[in-house]
Amino acid sequence: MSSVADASPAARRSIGRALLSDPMGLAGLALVTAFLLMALFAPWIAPYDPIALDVRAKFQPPSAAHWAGTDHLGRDLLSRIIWGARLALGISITSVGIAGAIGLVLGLIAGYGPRWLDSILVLIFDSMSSLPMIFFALAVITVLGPGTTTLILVIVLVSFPAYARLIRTQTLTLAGADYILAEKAMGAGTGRIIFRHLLPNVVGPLVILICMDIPVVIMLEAGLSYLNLGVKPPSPSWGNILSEGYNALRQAPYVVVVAGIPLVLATLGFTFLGEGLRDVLDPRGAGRRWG
Amino acid sequence: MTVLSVENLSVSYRIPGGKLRAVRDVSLGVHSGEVLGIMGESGCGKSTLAAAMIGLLPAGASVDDGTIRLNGADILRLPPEQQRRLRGQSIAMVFQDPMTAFNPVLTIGRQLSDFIGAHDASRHSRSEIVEMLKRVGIPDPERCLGRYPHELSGGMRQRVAIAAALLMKPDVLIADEPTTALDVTMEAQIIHLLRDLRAGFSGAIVIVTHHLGVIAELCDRVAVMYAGEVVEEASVDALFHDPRHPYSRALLSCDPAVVQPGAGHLPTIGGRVPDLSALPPGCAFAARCTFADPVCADPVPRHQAAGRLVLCHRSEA
Amino acid sequence: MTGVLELRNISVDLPLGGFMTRTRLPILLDVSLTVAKGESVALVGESGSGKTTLARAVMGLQAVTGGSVIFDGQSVADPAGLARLRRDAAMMFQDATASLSPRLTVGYLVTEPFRIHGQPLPDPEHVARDLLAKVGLPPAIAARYPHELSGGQARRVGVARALALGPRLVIADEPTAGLDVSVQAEVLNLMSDLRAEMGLAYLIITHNLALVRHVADRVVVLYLGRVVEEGPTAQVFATPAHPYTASLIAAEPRPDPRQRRMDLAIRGEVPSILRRPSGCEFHTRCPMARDLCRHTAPALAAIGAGRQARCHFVDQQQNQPGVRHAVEHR
Repeated sequence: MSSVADASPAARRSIGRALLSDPMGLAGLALVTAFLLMALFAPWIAPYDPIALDVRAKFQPPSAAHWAGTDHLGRDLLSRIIWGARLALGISITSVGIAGAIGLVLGLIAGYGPRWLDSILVLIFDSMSSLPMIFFALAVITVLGPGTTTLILVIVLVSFPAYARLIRTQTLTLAGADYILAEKAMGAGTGRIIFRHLLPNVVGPLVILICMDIPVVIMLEAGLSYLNLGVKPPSPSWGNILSEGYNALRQAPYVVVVAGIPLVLATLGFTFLGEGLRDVLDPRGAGRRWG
Repeated sequence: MTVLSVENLSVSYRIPGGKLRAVRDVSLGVHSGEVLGIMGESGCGKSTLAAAMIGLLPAGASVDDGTIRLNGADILRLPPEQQRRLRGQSIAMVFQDPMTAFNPVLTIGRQLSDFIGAHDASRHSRSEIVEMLKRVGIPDPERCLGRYPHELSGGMRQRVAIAAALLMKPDVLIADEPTTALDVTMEAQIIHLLRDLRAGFSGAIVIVTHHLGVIAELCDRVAVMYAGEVVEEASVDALFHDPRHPYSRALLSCDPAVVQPGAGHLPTIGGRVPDLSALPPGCAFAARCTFADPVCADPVPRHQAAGRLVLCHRSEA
Repeated sequence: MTGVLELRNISVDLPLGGFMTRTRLPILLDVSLTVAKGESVALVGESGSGKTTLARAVMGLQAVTGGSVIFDGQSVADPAGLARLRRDAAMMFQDATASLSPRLTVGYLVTEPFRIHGQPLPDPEHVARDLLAKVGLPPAIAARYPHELSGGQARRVGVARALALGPRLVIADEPTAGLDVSVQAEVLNLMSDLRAEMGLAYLIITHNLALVRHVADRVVVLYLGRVVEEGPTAQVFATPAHPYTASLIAAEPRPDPRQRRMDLAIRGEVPSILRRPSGCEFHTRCPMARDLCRHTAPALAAIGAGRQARCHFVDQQQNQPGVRHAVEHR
């Protein structure tokens, strides 16, 4: 029965339209799309080969020939940055995606499965998240050696507990919902309940979290690469470029600027997209705003 | 004396693609000592009207026209600070859901005295609060002060809500679906309580509900709302025994509590409530009315006579 | 004669407190009732009566501590019996919108029972449209999502889904709750029509006495988890045998200002199930309570054709047509 408390009418909007009408979401979407395109089409967009050396042309400031200038080995910085997007996005999306998938499955099992299994899983989640990330990363890297695969492994192991806990909480809340009871009353099996009725309703907040975590992972990769623990040179990781630029701060101050800009923009882009999605993905429309 | 009067009030909500006209040119008045019932089904605008009266319209709603006067003063045009002071002090409200009307982490006594303190710290004392709790039928008022909301049942919480509303001796008490969330026996007790309290309450009471039985038991006068308008207004006896507007007639005839069992099918009102953002010209009820006529597409006249009001081409007051 | 549904001495206790406690709180005590083929039985009670727990127990969503639920001659404690129950009995929940999975369309939801039970579904759209038409909804509704439906529409979708596999029993939990009066009338008509067409049996849980009068053949009244009265609807309403039944009937607000009840026989609130009264559990609110009632709990006794009541003073109650009350005439 309607009452004063809910006197306003429900607005019905499609997700796409809602996202596009929100300036922040729109900006985020634009930036993310730009970087994705940059990553995908790197071989065709980049003006030069990112690892081609041309020592005679070293430390040239931005010019018509090299829009972002060159580094200490004469490599074109713009090309390195464009290829760097491929690395940054590739690593972050892959690792966060894998961690998200693991977190989703484990969270659903923990939330809906038998209580004893839940207790075990929660123990695992809590232990994993109590490990300080950097030390854990260092430990794994020491054992397995630096490189892209190690990096992805570290990120997956460190991220999935938080996702699993989120999904678990959402699942626990929904497990007692009327519609789940209704499905049980109709004779629906556990598999159907988990995949058709729980998963679609818990995945929203996870998508938002993943989106907001991508810039964190990009930064992490950049940081580790800066410490020479991440992607090995001469691969054009944004972190490597930043590190080399820092070493050449006196001769070529523009390098750090040029390396920093994509990091900042990528972070902003994903964060805005995440905020935009948050407003839009709430299943009952409770978070939707009316014009 | 008219305590609260609504004059040609129109309220609408902004929605994507237009405006939803929830309240359309509504005029009503309540006198002190009187109980007015505002009756209607979902989407008729009664909740929006109640929200406007207490000044709690949600974001997205705007008053397009008209005003509300409390003791003659235009309250919609007051600055927010003054409106806030009126709320609770001169106009008090009891909400539908006794479960969520109170802060779960504070005791009843604390909330009631906070509430009074917000308005007038000097006047009231603990004994007045206890006295009021006793009047609304709380069995052990002193102990109740120390209890938390979750320790009380729904019926008790609703009684406390009524006590809170009456403590400031408001000029108008608005009750929005006061018994809808309660059990049958509790509903009967709250109805009796409201009736008893009338004796000691000099202000006006407005009851907003869709429950015909509650209206019949409590009200002196009734305003029936449909699609944002008051389609009929009459004394309670006149409305139940001689309804003039086709919607009022249809509503009364299809209430399962009115119809005798064994009659086979219950009468219903065919069709649906019109879309308030795209209203047809003329009478909003015409599409569902058994007496509709081509004339019903024209603006509807307001017939007023001998304390009755009917908004219809085909009926008189 | 066994009916479609038989509840034999059902008791449900719920553990009180945390994981390791031993204390158990009785919610339902020794409840028995039968629903015959094509019969409509109403279960009436207020909060604390255990009616919702009973509905859940029947559908196998709540474990019973004692007694048995027999559906179509087979106990539902047995997995085959439970599977049959889930297929041939359907439940309609109180909050119709909440009982529909939010991210699936109405079309999918009403045909889901086919998928769950492995029944063939060659043309889902057609089946969905037919089911929706049966409950008076236009085919366009199939594309909508639950949150886009009105209360009445959601209720009908719930009915459509319940009818999908042609059940023998429908359990309806407060089918008219939250609905406008005109929509209630539509839902009641729908329920009567479907019953006539499909020979459905109903177990209706409600506190809406008007609904009971219109749709139920028999009524069972629950108070604090026990049956206090049972019998054919017309008779129970005309001459209630138990004071609680009489109070419920008297408490109903009447839609006629010329018949206002000026006094109210029933006092107080439903006692908390944590602190059950001694003797007859209704004695704390009963206008006729005597000493005997405080000490001794009455048993459920037969009082005539198909009627039972749990009261020491049934004879006296029956001689008065309903509880007398002062009526204000205008």
